Amino acid sequence: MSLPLRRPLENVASLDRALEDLIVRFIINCPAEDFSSVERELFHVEEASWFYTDFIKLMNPNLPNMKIKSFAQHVIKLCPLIWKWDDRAEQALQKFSQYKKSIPVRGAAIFNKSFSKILLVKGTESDSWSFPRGKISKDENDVDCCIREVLEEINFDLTDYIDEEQFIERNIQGKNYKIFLVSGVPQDFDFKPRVRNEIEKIEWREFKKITRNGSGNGKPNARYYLVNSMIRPLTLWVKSKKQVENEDQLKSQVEEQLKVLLGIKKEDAVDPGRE
Amino acid sequence: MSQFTGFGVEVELKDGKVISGKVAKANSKSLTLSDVVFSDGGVSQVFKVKASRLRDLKVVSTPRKE
Repeated sequence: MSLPLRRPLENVASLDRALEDLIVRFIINCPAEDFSSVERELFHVEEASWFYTDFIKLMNPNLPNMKIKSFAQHVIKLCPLIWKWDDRAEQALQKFSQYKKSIPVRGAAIFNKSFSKILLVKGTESDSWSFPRGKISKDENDVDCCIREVLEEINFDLTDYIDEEQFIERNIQGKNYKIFLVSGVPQDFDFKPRVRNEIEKIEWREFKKITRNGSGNGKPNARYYLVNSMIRPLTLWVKSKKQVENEDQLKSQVEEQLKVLLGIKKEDAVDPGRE
Repeated sequence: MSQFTGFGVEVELKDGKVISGKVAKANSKSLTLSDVVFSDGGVSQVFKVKASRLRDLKVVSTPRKE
């Protein structure tokens, strides 16, 4: 039997008590290597601030809204021992966002079976649509990162769909993006984000419309981030995939006709790998 | 039947031999292939096989548009 614990978060006495709780949860007990740089420590502060907005703030509506900046300042003021750097929180956060910009991003361009639609997401703090994607973690490979991030953002497991050879890579402002190309995802799946306050909307978009909007007048379309710079390779990939599919269809049609003509019975042929 | 001409096929005979080539002619009695490769490595320009000897057939390529 597990010990019944009280739920102090549902009714925190004050902001300071809540923050102390979070400091213990996310910051103080980290291994020493996570305090080796400002950036690494701030990842934990960031986690703590997400937990604050996602859970504590919701349970206690009287607490203030805090973005990462004021959150970090509060935390450092409350527990100065966790901050061994000379930088002030503000500067440190600037460094932090600079650093985050250099982390490679992995994601997936997800198509339906007929390649007519592509699945895009819109972030809560952004007006533009893009692929589900995210930053790579420590010691994580590209495919694992893509699968993890896609699962977090749309709750769909790409493990059986992803092909590590099929991707588009781009460097935009020093940041490396690798988007895997995926097709055959069921359109009626109930996509929803697993994490809170990150993804606002998930929608299937007509691929043709996007291509038209994106490259029509030569101006990049602000409504589609990242998708814009990949329109051409995406279109080419879709085209080649469709061609292969048409060819496969033709082959199986001809095969069937030939078999009928020549009197080859189907039950003789056990052919694994073909449905 | 010209609609099958040029399709690459792989046929398995009832004695277990496998032959691949391009369809030159096909009717209910026999299948004629060109550019034939036999499973033992032999090659032939043309090969005609009776329909009754066929066990299985697989279309492996479409006619090249050149």
